[in-house]
Amino acid sequence: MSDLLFSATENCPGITFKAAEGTLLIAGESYSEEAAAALEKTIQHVRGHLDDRPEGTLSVTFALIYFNSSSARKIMTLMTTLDEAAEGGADVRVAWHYRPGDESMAELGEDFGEDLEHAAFSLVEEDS
Amino acid sequence: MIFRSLTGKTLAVYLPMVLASVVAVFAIQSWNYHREQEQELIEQLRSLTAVQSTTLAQAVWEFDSESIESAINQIMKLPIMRDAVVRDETGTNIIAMGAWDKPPEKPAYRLARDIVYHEQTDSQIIGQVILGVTGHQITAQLYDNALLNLRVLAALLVALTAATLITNRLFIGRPLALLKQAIETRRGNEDSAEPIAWKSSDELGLVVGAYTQMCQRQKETNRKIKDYQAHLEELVQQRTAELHASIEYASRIQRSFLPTPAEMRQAVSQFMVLWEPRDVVGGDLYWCRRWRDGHLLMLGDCTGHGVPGALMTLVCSSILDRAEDDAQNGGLADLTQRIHHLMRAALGQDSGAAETDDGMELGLCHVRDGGATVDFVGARMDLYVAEGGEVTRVRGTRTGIAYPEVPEDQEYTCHQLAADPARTYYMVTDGILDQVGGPDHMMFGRRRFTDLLARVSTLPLGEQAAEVRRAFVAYQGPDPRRDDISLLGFRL
Repeated sequence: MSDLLFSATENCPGITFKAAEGTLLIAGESYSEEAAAALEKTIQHVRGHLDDRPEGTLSVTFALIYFNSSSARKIMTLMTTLDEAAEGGADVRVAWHYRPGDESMAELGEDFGEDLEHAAFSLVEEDS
Repeated sequence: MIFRSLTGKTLAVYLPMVLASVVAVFAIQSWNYHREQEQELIEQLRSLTAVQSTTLAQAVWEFDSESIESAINQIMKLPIMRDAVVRDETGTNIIAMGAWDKPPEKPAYRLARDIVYHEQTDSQIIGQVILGVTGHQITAQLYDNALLNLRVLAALLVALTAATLITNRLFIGRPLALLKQAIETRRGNEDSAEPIAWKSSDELGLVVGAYTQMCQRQKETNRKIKDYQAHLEELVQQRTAELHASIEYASRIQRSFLPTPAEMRQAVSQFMVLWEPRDVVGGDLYWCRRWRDGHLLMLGDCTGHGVPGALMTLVCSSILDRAEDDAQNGGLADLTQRIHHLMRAALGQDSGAAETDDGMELGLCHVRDGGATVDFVGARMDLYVAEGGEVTRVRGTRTGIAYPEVPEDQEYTCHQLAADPARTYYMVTDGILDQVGGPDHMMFGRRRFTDLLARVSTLPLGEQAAEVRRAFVAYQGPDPRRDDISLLGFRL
C-alpha cells in the first residue's frame, strides 16, 4: 500500500499515513464534509494496508482539537477497523493526544479507548 | 549604440556591401582602361619606330648627324617619349637621348628596329633605331580617375546613409514609435484600443493594423467577460437571495415545530431556552409534549446541521408522535427504545446495508403532574441538576439513537430523580461543549460548562439564557461557530 497525505485546513485535519513505517497521524480540527470524506478515504486505505499485512504493526496517533459528530462517526469506524485488525493478529497501538486542560478531548479519547478490546490504547497529555 | 538601432544595423549591412561592389566596379574599369591605354602606347611605339627606321635611313646613310638629331629631337617632344638611340651598323651610338642607358619601365616599352637602306633592288641594314616610351601619363590618368571615383564613392555613401536614415525614420521609425506608445498606453489601461494613426500598405502597416485589430478584439472580449461576470454576480446574488429566502422560510417551518412558551409553562413552572442553529436552520430541536400522566421535555441533536439537520429534526418530530402513541403503557426507557427502532427503520438503517450513517443524541425528561419524581433518559446526552450553586451531572446512556452500530435491542437507562422545586434541570447539546475558542484554541469543555451553569443557575431563569450566551460568545471569540447550540433548562 502507498502513503497517504491530506494537508490540514481550517476544518479538515492533517492526515499522514506512512506505509513503510506503519504510522498514521491525524491532527487538527475535523468538521466539514471534506474532513469526513478524508477520514473515509483513510479508513479504506488503512483497511487495505492491514489486509495485506495481517501480522503487521501500525501505530496510530490522534492529536485533535475538535471534531463534529459526522467526523466522530468516521473516527469510530476507524477505531473498529483497527480493533478488528488487532484481533486478527496485527500489532496496533493507538495513542490519543490531548492538550493540557483539554478535558473534553481527554474524555472523548477515553470513550474511544474503552471500545478498543484488542488494540493497545494510551491517553497522552501533551507537553504544554 | 547606433549599431543597436535598426538604422545602424541596416547601414552596417548596406555600407560595406555598396563599398565593396562599387570599389570592385571601379577596379575592373581602371584595369581595363590601363590595359587599353598600354596597348595603344605600345602600338604608338611600334608605328613610331617603323616610321623612324624609314625616315632616318637616308640621313644615317649619309652620316648626316644633324638631320638625325633634329629628327630625334622632334619625336622626343612627344609626351610619351622617354628615350631614343640611333646606332650605326657597328652598333656605335650616333645619337642617344633620355634615359636610354637605364632599363625600360616595362620590356614592351622599348622597341628596336633596324634601319634598312634600299637601293634599287638591293637593301642593306645600316643601323638601328631604339625608342623607349613611358607609361607615366597612363598612371597619372588612372590616379585622376581614382580621385574622381573616390569622390563619387563618398557622395554615394553619404547619399545612401542619408536615404537610409530618412526612409527608416519615415517608414519604420515612426510607425514603430506609434506602436510602442500604443503598447505603453495599453499597459496602463487594458481597455484602451485607440487606433494607431498610421496607414500603410507595407508590412509595418499590416503589423500596426493587426495590432489595432487585436486590441479592439481584446477590448471587446474584456467587455464581454465583464458583462458575463456582472451577469454571474447578479445571478449569484439572486440565487443567494432565493436560497436565503428559502432557508428563512424553512426556519419559520422549523421554528413552528418548537413548543410555544405557553405550552412549556403547562409542563413546568419556569424554563429557559438557548436555541441557536449555526446556519439559520439546524439539527438541534426541543419538544414539549403531553405524554401519559405528565409532560415530556426533550432535546435532540440530529446528525448534521443546516438543511439536512433540519430535515432530520422533522423526521424525528413525526417519529416522536408515533413512538408516544406506541409506548403509552411503557416507561420512558421503552419510549426511547421505540424512538430508536422507528428512526432506524425510517432511515433504512435497520437492514445492515444502509448507505446512511445518521442518528441523534436525545435527552428526555418526563415530568408527572404533581409527581414526586422527574424521569430522565439520555441517549448520549446528560442531565445537569443545579441546586444552590452546585451542579451535578446525571450521565445518560452512552449510545445514541438510530446509528447503524447501535443494536436493535439497545436499552436506555431511566434515572428517577426527586422532583424538587429548588432544583434547576438542564439538558445541553454538544454544540456548546465542543465549541473551540479561548486563548488556547480549545473546546469549551464540560468543566467550563459546569462552572458556568453553577454561576448562572442562581439567577432568575429568564436571565440565564442571555448570560450563558454572553459567556459562550466571549469564549468563542473570533473562532467560527462549529455546530448548532441548544440549552434547555427548567424548574418544576
